Amino acid sequence: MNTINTYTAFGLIFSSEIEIPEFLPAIGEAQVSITLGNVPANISGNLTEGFRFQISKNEFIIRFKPWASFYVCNGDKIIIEPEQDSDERDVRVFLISSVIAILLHQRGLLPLHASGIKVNNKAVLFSANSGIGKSTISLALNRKYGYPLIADDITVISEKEGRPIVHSSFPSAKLWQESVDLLGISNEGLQYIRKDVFKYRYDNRPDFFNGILDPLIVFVLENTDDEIVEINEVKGIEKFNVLRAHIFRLRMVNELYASEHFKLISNLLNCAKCYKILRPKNGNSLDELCSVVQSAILK
Amino acid sequence: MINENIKIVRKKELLSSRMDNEIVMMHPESGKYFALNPVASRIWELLEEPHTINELVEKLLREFDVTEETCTNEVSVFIEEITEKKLIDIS
Repeated sequence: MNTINTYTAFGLIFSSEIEIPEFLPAIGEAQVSITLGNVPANISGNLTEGFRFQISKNEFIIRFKPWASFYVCNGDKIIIEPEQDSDERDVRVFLISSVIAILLHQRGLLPLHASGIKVNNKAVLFSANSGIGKSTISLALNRKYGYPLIADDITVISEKEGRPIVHSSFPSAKLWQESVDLLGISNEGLQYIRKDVFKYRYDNRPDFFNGILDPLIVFVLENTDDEIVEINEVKGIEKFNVLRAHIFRLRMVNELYASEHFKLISNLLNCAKCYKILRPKNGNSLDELCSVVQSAILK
Repeated sequence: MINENIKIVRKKELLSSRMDNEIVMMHPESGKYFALNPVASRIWELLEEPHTINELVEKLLREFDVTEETCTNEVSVFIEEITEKKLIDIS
C-alpha cells in the first residue's frame, strides 16, 4: 500500500499515491484520486481516437511512450501506469499538464493556456501559445510590482451563480535558461522539469496566492516581426475567438465540451477586458512589455 | 421559404452571448459557432419573441437609418440564412 498524499491545485483537492512536490499540501476530503494501477486498453462508447490517445465525454486514455500511460474518468479519477524505469519527473510533467487538463474539462471547467497574477484581489491573465513568454511576463511583473502569482501554464475558470471565477493553479513555473537569465534568477539548485528536457522547474511558493479571484483582464500575447510592443483592446466576436483558441488541449477535446466552454468564455468576457499584445520576436522587450501591461492595468 | 405572414422565433436550445455590440451563438448539438454583425444581432435579439418579417422591418426602421427597401432586403437575406442553418423555429 502506498502512502496517500493530499494536495490542492486548480481549486480542487487531490489524493495521490505519487508525490507531487509542485502542488501545495492540503487537508480535506479529496475530489480527485490519483492512483497507480493498470490503464485499460480501450475506452468504451462513443469515442474519438488520436495519436496515442482515446477520448469520450467522460473517459480519456493517453500513452506517453516510453514513460507512462494515463486513464482519466468522470472528472474524479486518474490512474497512472508508469513504464519500467521511467523517471518520476517525466511522469509528473505529463500528469500536471495534459492529463489534469482533461480532468478539468471532464469537470465542466475551462482550463485556459494562461499564466496569471493577482492585482488588487482580481486576476490578470496572460494567454499565449508555448514559447511566447507567459511564465516570464508574470514573474517579471511579480518582481517589479509585487503582484502575487496565481498560475504558470494553466488557469482554470469556473462560474458561480453566473459570475466567472478564476482559480489559482500551483506555485511552480517552467522556465528556459533564457528566462532565468532575463529575470536574474540564480539557477543554482534548480531542477530540470524532465530528465532530458533542459527547462527548469522554479518553485515560487513565497510569491504565490492560493485561492479564487474575480477576473479583471486577459492579455493575449503574440509574436511580431516588428520592433515595438503593440497593444490593442479586442472587442466583439474576435474576443471570443481569441480566447477559444487558447483553451488548453482544445485539439484533443475538440467539440466535446463546446457548450461548457461557450458559457464559461462568454461569462468571463462579460466581466473581463481583453487586450492583444504583439511583442517583438527578437531582442529583449521584457521591460517595455511590463510597462505596457502595467499601464493597461492602471487604466 | 418564409412568407411574410409566418411568425418566426429563435430556437430555444441555442446558446448566445453578447460581446460588445455583436452576438456570438452556438448550436450545442453540432458545436458550431455563429457570429452576428450589429444589425443581425439586433434582429436576433428581437427574435426572442415571435415576429413576422414585416414586424421586424418595422421595428428596425425605427432604430437604424436605412430605407424600407434596404431593410426588407437585408432582413429577408438574414432570415433565409438562419432558416437554412436551422437556427429558428416557425412559431
